[in-house]
Amino acid sequence: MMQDRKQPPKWADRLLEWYCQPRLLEDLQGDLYERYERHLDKQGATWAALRYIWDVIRFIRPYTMRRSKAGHARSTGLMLSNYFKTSYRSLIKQRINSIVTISGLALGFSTFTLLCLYVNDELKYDRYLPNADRIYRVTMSYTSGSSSEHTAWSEPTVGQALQDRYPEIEAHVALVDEKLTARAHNRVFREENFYYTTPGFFDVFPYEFEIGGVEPAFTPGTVVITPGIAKKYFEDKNPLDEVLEIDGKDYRVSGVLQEIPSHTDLKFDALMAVDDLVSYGWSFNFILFRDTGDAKDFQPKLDRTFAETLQKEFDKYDTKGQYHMEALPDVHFGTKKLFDTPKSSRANLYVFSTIALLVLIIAGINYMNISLANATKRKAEVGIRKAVGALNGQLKVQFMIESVLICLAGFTLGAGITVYCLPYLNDIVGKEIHWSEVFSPALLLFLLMVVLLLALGSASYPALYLSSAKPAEILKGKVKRVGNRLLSNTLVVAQFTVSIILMISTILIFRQLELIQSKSLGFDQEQILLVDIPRESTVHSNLAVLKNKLLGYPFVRSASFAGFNSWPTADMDVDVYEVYQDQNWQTKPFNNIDVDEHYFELLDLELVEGRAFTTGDMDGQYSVVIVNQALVDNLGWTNPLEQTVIYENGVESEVIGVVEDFHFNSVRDKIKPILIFPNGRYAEKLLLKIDSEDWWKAIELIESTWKSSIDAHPMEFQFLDQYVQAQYRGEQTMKQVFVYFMGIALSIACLGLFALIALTSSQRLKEIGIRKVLGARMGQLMITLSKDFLLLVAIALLLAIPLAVLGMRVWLNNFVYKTAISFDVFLVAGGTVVLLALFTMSFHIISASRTNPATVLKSE
Amino acid sequence: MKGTNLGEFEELVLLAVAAMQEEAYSLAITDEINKVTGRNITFGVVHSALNRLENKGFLQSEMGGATKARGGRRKRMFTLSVSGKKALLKTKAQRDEFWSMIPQFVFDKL
Repeated sequence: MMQDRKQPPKWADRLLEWYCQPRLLEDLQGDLYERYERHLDKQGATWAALRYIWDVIRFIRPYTMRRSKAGHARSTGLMLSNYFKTSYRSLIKQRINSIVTISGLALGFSTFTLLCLYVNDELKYDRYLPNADRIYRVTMSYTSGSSSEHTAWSEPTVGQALQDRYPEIEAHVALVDEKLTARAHNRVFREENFYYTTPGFFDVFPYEFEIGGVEPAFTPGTVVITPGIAKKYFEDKNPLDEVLEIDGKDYRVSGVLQEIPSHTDLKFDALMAVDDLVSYGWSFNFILFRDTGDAKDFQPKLDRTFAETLQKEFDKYDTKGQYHMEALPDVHFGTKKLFDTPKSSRANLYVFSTIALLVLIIAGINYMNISLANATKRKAEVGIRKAVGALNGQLKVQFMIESVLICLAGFTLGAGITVYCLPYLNDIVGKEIHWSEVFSPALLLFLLMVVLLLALGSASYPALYLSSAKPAEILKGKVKRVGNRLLSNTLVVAQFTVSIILMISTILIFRQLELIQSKSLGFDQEQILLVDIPRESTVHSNLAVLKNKLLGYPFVRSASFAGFNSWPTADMDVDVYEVYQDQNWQTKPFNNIDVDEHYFELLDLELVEGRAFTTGDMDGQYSVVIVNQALVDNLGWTNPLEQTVIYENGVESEVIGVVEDFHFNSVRDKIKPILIFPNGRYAEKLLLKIDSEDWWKAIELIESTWKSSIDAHPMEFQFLDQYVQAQYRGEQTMKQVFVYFMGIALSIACLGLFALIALTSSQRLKEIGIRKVLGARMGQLMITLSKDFLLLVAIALLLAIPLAVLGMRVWLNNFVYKTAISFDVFLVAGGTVVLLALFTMSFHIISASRTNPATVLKSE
Repeated sequence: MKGTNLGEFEELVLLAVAAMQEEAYSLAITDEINKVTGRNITFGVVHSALNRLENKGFLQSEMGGATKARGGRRKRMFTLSVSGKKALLKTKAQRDEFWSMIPQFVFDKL
C-alpha cells in the first residue's frame, strides 16, 4: 500500500513548497514525486532520496521562484539604487565622521592582518618538508645533584645506534657546523654555515636539487651547495664536479640545491659528506621515523639505548644523562638549549595574537559606537521614509547596505595600508613576507566574515529600533536617541578598558626590555675588536708573531686570546667537575671558558678575591682556575681560595681568584656558575682593545698585518658591542613592533571618542546655548560636557588595571630580572589616556561653546 | 526571440506536445523527446522550456489527471495553441523551401 512506500525527505518537500510559485507547485511537485518513484524502483531509497533533494535544489530558478508581491521585484531594484545614493550622500555630508569611521576600521583591519601575517610566518618554520612531522631531533641532558644542563648536541653515534636497534627508524643524520675557510679558483672566504654531515642527510631532509642529485652522488668527499654559494665561488660556471677546497681538504661538488626556504633555523650554505663525525664528539642529530605515530612511545626506547651505550661512561662521573627528542616543527619554539639554533618565543606569538584580536575588537566596538550615535542623526530621514510608506524591511535593508558599504570601504583601505606597510614590517622583523599573502583566501574569508558580522551587528540595532518606532513620534522628536545610554556607555568603557590594558602592557614591556638592555653586563664592550681565528695548526703557529706585531701599533692597547666559546656568547662549553660542597666531593656540570692572562684586564673584569692569571699559568697544565661569584654562591663556599676543582681526567686545579659576576648569556637568564681556565693555545678569537680616533685606518693596518702573517685565510672580525647587541635583536624587534601597534590601538580608540563626542555635543548645542545665555563660562561648559565621558574613562581605568597586572605577571615570569609593576605605570597610562580623551573632547567642546547662542536657539 | 522564429529545442518540444496529444505533461514529454531523439535531455531543461513556451503563448495548459505515484497531485497537461501551430508551420515552410532548392546531384555527390 501507499503508506508502506518510502516517501521523499520531508525537508526537501518543504523547501520546494517554500520557494516554488503556487502556480507551478502542484504539477512540479507531482512530477518530482513521479521521478522519485521511478528512482525508488530502480536504484533504491537512498539514491532516490538524494536524487529528489538534488532535483528540488536544481529547480531553484528565477522562473520557479515565488514572488511575494506583484511588482515588488522592480521596486526593490529602484530602491536599491536609492539606498546607495542616500548612503553616499550621508557619508559625504558627515565627512569627518565618515573619515574617522572608515579609517578606524581600516587601521584595525590592517593591524590585524599584519600581526596575523607575522604569526603565521613564524608558525611556518620547519614545516615545508613533506616529512617534517616524522623528523625528530635528539638532544641530551645531564643532571648532577642540583645542577643540570640540556644541550642541543648529542653523541654523533646516537642515530646509528637507534637505527640498529629499532626498525621504526628509517634514517638518521648527524651534522656539525664549523666556521671555516673555503677556496675555489682564488676565491677565498670565511664561511659560517658550512656543515659536515653523514651521507644520510638527504634521506632525512629531502631537499630538492637544481643540478645533480642524491643517488649516489652524496658520498664522503663530496659537497652539496646552495645556489648562493655556487654563484659566490663558481659564478656562472656549472659547478658540478668542480673542486671546492674546504679547510684544506678538497671536496667535489656533487650537486646544487634549490634555494633553501627561509623558514628554518638550520640554515646551511653547504653540506660536506663525511663518513662519520665521531671525532667531533658532538653533533646535531636528526632521526626520521617510518610512521608519524612511531614517535609517540619512543622515549623509553631512547632511555634503553642510552643505558646500553653511554650509561657506563656517565656512571663513572656520578652523573645522570638522558636522551630527549623534539619534533622538527617544535624546534623553533622549544626552550633554548646549549649550542642551540636561534629560537622564537611562543610567548611573544601569544602576545602578538592577543594584540591582533584586541585591536580588531577595539576597531569593531569603535565602529558600532559611532554608527549607533550616527543613526540618531538620521531619524528625520527615517521618519519621512516611514511617512511616505517605507516598509520596515526596507529600512532594515537600507541600514544594512549602508553599513556593509562602510565596512567594505574600511576593509579595502585596510588592505591598501597593509600592502603599503608590509615592507616596513619585513624590515623590522627581518622576514620576507610577500604582499600576495595579504590576499590569502583564509585571511580574506575571515576578514570578510568579520566585515559582515560588524555590518550586521551595527546595523541591526538602529534598524530595528528606528523601524519599529511610529513615524509621527520620530518626526515630533520624541525619539531622542537611538539605543539606550547603557549600551553605548558599555561600549565606550569596553573600548577604553582594552586601550588602557594595551597601554599599561606597552609601558611594562618597554620598561622590561629597557631594563634588560641597560643592565650592566659586567664587562667592557666598547672599542673591542673580535677577530676570528681559523681552527688550523698552521695558523696557530703564527699567532704569537701576529699578536706581537699588532701590539707594536700604538692604538692596540691590549690583545687577548680566548678559547672555545669563551667570549660573550650565548653558549659556553660545559663539562663535569668534582667540587667540594657540604663536606662532600660532588660531581657537577659547569660552564667553562679558556682565556689567557690579558683577558681580565682587556674586558675590565673585576676580581673580588685572589689574583688574575699570569704568564706562568699559561703552561697548559690547568693547575689553577678562577671562578665567578655565582659559582661561589652556588656551592656555598666560604673560603673559595682554598678550594680545588677536579676535572674528569683527574687534573686538579687550584682556585686562585673569584671574579665578579658578568653576563655572557642573555640577561633573560640568571648568571650561571663559570670556571675560567688559563689556556691561550686553542684560541678561537683574538680580542683587541683599540684606542684610536681613526677606526678605519686602524682596522686597515690590522688587516694588512693579518695578511702578512696568515695569508691563507681572510680576516673576519666584529665589534664586540655590536656583537652583543645582535644577541638582543629579538627583544629589540619586539619592542619596536609593540610600540607601533599599541600606538595604532590607542589612536583607534581616540578616533572613536572624537566621533562620539562630536555627535553628543552637537545634540547638546541648545543646552550649551541656554547655559551660555545664563552666563556659563567656557571652563564650566568644559566640565559639564566632559564629565560624563571622564567618568567612563575612570571606570575603564579601574577595570583595566587588574586585568593588565594579571596578564603582565604571566609575561614577566619569563624573565629572571623583572621590572616592578609599580603605581606610576598606572598613573602614566591613566594620565595619558585621560589627557588624550580630554584633548579630543576639547576640540568639539570649544567649537560648541564658541557658537553664538542666538543662532542655535532661534529655531525651534 | 525576434518574430515567431523557434529555436531548435523549442521546436522539438512543440512537436512533441503536438504529437502526444494526450498525456502531454512535462515528465512524459521529456521521456518522449529522449526516446525519439536518443539524446539525454534532463527534466529540468524541458520543464523550463515548457514554461517559457507557455509564456510566449505557443502552448496552453490545464490541470488534470492525478495519479497515486504523484502523491495525488494533478498534472499540467499541455496542448498546442493557435500561435504555436502557426510557428511550427512557419518553421516547416522555411525548411521545405530550402529542401526544394537543393538539386538532387548535391546529395549524389556525397
